[in-house]
Amino acid sequence: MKISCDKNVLLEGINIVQKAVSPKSTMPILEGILLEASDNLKLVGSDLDLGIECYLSAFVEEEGAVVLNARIFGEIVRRLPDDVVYIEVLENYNTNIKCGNTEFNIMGINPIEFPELPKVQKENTIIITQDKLRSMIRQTIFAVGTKESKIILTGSCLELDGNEINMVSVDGYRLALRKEILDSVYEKQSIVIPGKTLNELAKIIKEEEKKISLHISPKHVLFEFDECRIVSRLLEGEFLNYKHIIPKEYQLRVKVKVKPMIEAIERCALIILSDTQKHPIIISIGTDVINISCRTQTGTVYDSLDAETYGSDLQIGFNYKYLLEALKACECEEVYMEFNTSLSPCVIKPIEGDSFTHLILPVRF
Amino acid sequence: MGRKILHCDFNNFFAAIECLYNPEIRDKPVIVGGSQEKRHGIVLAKNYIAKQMGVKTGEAIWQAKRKCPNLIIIEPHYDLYLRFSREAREIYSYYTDRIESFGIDECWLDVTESTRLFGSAERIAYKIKDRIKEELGITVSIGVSFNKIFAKLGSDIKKPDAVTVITEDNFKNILWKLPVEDLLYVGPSTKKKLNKVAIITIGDLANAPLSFLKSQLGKWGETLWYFANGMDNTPVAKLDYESAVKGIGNSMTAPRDLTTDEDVKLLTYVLAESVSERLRKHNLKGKTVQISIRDKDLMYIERQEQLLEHTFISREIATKAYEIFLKSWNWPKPIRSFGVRVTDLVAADTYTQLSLFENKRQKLENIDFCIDKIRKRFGHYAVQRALLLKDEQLNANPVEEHIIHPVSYFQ
Repeated sequence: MKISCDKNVLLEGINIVQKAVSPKSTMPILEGILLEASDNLKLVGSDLDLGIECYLSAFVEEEGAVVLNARIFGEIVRRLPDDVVYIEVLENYNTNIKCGNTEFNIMGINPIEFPELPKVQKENTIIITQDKLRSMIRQTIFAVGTKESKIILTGSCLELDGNEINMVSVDGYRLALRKEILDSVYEKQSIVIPGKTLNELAKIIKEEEKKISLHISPKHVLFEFDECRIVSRLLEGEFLNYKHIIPKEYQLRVKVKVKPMIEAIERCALIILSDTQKHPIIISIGTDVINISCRTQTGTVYDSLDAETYGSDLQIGFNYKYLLEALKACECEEVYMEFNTSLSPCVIKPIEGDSFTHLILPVRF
Repeated sequence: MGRKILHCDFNNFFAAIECLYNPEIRDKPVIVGGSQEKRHGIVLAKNYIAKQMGVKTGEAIWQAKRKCPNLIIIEPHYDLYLRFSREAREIYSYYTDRIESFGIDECWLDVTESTRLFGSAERIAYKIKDRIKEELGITVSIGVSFNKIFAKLGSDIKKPDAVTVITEDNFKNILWKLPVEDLLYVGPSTKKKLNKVAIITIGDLANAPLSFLKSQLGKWGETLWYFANGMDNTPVAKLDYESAVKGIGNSMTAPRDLTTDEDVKLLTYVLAESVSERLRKHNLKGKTVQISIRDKDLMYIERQEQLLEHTFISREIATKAYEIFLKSWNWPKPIRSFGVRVTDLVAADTYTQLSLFENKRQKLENIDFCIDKIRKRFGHYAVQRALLLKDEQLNANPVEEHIIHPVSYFQ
């Protein structure tokens, strides 16, 4: 294999595929990036659950392939001068990398053992814009479960019904639901995508109105966009039937300004030091006022802000992290917070429409 | 000004109390021992006559009987011993508020601040010794010194009913000739290590280079060297000080060797019920479950794993403990004793994050509380898991039968 390629183009590609490479693996070949030169240059990274392919424009003098350790190859290219990079694979996969006055020779690995990415039939395809998908992920990913015991909840559920698409994350204590409208109508279906995949995907796709295609097969999903193909295993099993959890009615509705609320909660959280003791913040809602207080071994704090309230007074406790993450994910100026009792979930909704729903279970105190 | 510390050690505590209550056996060899049927059959305490016959604390009852065929064996009465222990503390508290128990029959007293009221530390020691003999009818030996370690060594030097004073001037003469294993925390394995490098007495230890001990024993080497040189400044805890509980556990020597998974499962439930009952009693929840296994050749292992949530539900603890057991034991040998312990404790009822799934857990907690109430009213065996009916021998109640918990010198 013998190719030349612009340094920054190469680096961008490496940065993308590296997201699928685990730094430590039982198989050394999985700690590497596959470089495959034919018409252009293809980079591939994979950890068997998630695989990323990226096509770069490069001048291919001689076709071929090699696997290079992702960390070393990445660091080398990152620090090369901004110039054309020449890569040549010599005998025994010894690889020569040249750029400007710099020249490296590093050991490569035989690419024959590099696992092939799963083939996904392009029969069941959804098209969405990158910015929509990105915002759907960002507004729900924080509520993905982390417990190994409920594997299915370590992913987000993607639901299609007509031209509606929902993304839902639940970790047992809270739920984040995000709705979008698609340009076309699709068959009713739902899949569960691992949280890790979505996390990496959100970093790679851009805030642009460019299209991204999701090809869904029974076990895998393939994201195709720009010069990239991302294949991920799907989580198998029944996702939580979340719809009945979200209360339809409320006793108390509060119109809250998001930014002052976030700031007040962050101030209160300053005295919550212990992770194991999980001190709740106490939210007391009176007529047109929200009081936030907290008492821990460090001391006490008291804060209050104006709000429009509709309904009876209420006092309720929360894990501040859950409240904070939900409010931050709203990405708007004002929201409705809806309550029933001090032991039933709080629902956060937009003032208009139903593009998102956050649900948080309280802390009994 | 050095400190004035007393260490009071009851002489043959259990045996002395039994002899006090049974005058007819006072002139015979007596031991207090666990029940042989349940195989707790070791010598817990002995009187002086039994001691003269060569009976040792800790040996099996049949061994003791062989040395002394007319031995009188008495089952222990822990509630009685606890009462004497409490009454002794009452007497101590007349002289100081700094009293720290070390097990049921030993106490440290810091009388540094009391000497103006009651005279020298030695005088206080004699007063305490005489009052205990007069008021409780049993004897103590007391060590008086300037630190806890030496006071403890001192109380062992003259027994029974005696006072030994260890000062900064005489400790080298009196204590340094004692064998090194007399020192607190020098057990059989440390002794072996020390003897191997020609450290036989406490004096040898004190005179060994610190760096050498560190290389032999690690951090312990340093601690022991300080102990041997009288450089111990651990304070005597205040009377009302209760050390924070770090873990709650129970272990049990089974009445017969355990040979099947089913046996262990049964015992796991017995122990987990007792552990979780104590967790609930102290209003605690734990997250880490630990099991300990001693096989019939006394080989000992410990394994632990974490639960997802803090809990005091007996079923969750038992299930986890049994799960750990299945992972860590493939029956190379029958099991002699088995233990379950819960650590990583937090206060139980403070705050509960409500969950979408856990409606079941609230119910399980309520069941356990309910069982506690029934047992409190009608006795431990009033309500039982069906599993435990399979083998009545294994179904003991460790809560009532083991009330004395070991303590650590380091708080």
